[in-house]
Amino acid sequence: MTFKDLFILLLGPELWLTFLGFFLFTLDLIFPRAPKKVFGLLTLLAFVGGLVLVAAQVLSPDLADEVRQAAQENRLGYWLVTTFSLDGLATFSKGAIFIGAILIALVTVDYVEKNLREGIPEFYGLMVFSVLALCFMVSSVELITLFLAIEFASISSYILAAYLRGDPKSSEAAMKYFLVGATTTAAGLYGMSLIYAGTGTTYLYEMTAQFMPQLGETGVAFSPPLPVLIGLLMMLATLGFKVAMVPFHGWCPDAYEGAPTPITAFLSVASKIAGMATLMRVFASGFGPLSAGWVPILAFLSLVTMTFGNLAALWQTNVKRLMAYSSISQVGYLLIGVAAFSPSDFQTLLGMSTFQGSEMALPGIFYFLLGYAFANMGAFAVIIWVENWEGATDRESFEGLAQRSPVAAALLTLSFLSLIGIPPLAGFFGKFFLFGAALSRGLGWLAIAGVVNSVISAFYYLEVVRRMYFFPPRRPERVSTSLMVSSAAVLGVVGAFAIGILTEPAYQWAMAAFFDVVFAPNISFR
Amino acid sequence: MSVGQVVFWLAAVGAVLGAIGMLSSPNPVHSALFLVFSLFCVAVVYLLMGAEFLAIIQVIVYAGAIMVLFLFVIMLLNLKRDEFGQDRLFRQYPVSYLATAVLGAVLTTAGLAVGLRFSEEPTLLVPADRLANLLFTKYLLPFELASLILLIAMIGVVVMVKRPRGG
Repeated sequence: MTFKDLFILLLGPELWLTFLGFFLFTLDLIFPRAPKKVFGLLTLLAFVGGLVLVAAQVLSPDLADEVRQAAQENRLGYWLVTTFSLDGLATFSKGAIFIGAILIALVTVDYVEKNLREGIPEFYGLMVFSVLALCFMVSSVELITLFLAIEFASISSYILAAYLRGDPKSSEAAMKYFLVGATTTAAGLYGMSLIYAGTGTTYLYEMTAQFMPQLGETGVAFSPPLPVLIGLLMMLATLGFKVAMVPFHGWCPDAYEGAPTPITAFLSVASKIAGMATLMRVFASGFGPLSAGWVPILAFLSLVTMTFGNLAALWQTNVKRLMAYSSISQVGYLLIGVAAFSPSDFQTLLGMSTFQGSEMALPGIFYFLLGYAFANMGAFAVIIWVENWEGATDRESFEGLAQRSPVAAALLTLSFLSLIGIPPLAGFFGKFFLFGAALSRGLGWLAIAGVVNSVISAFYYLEVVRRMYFFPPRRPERVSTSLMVSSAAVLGVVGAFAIGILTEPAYQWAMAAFFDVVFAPNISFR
Repeated sequence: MSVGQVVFWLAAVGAVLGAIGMLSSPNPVHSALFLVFSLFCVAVVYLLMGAEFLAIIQVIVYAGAIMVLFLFVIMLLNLKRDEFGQDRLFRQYPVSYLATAVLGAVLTTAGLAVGLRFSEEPTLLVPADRLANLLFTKYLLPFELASLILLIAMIGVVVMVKRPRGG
């Protein structure tokens, strides 16, 4: 393969999204009278095309070898190899992000027509660019690139969250999101400079290579030198902000409530997948040898995050706020998987030891994320379904939904059941993998906390279900919606079912995502 | 004293005086101009240290772009001190004096510990051409990302401040 072919294949989804983003921005200037729906459909096309390109990358059999070889022969630019990586982790999360983005684009069109009067083309353009930013985020393997990608994603999300101009809550959402985001980003940048001071490089895998000799043959994890540990924890502030982990969750409920609902869905699905993938890249594969330093901290934060999210969700009366706290608690479950990381996992990542199925939590995290993305999107599609009709998202709007639209009520119920973790839906197997890994790593208390939390979460999810089925409707008329929104809801629920039933292939794919993650130490750095 | 030392002392004293002037001036426009002067003097110190790129950026971005923006805002809003009303932060004054004193003590100690030395000929710490080279080779991808960030920030500002049609 020539450099040009390889370059296009490597950066395919990113190039495509950049092109379509610019296209959306300029199309409105050339044809100001074009119907606004066109922009929505083009956005959908952008995400579908992105998914196809990611699929092409996954299916092209020897892309990884090709890249490795080209990097060793200096055929691929040094600048590209040391900043951008297309490993399994990147392709898997890009795939998940695009799936989420497609469903979000489906629910956006109607919402925009109903709620936005100004700047509609820019809204779609910014959506495309924020997905582009997430793609860069999950692919970057170098701290400066990573910082800029996170900043790119954050800034476009701030703008999107503030898009409902007439609604003070939207401004509040953007303001809080921005202030917390700016603070944590500053902390993260400071942490990166500490890490740079401690290791002398900004390239993640060069750091790994530096720490590798200390890990040695015995495979005992050790704690990093103090400046690096502090730097790592400060970076955790930025990543924790992106995934809404306690104690960096303060923006989450207000931002979720005030932002346009499709953007809320975007923040809780696509943004969270990217944040989680980046967190795993930095912690598990970049700083994997140092796990003794960060595993206890993440175990503690996991416990706090899920407990706080679930307890606070019990008192919510607005379904969008409820979803915010629910998504915080889901992050808590995900962090169990990160906390169950051990040095032997790192050796598996390197290919030093063979894979021992259920002991390793990392594939479980990805499996869980995929299931979460589908179920959450199903739930948000129904919320938008109701919101477009009722103009509100408080609990009372959902009362008697089973009579007003049986399909919507059934779909929301199924999505919630998956989020609680009821078999055979995806949520159950996701939790099964994560809690199982925690048990086998001696983190039994964390697994028990997870189970207890799942039970607590059933209360507030089922409260909404109870209102839909056993309360009389406030108004008698049916709640109908367009084909796009309902198909998004159906796709979300079908996806949650499919991931749950086809556990084995989905898990295999998630597992494959980790095999070539740490290939980079093989290439020469200078 | 060599020429370099004379220039350093002028710039250093100028930077401190500019900062003091900024804080004590009752007129916001004067404050901003004092800050421009102070930042400019710091840029001279950077230049003497051999950080030419940093010095140029300091002048262009801080003393130039940002402070001119400040001036614009101050002049557009036509702020005067008595329009701010009663200073409500007076309780924080002691804390701020304390913090300033501690920071000053730490920096002075650090400076004395290292010892003030003037090198005979200024060395170039980071030549601008090497920075440029890095920017367009090793850090090409972040560079492009930064341009995209600036683009969406601009678009975002335009979207946010555009007056709603008919409103």
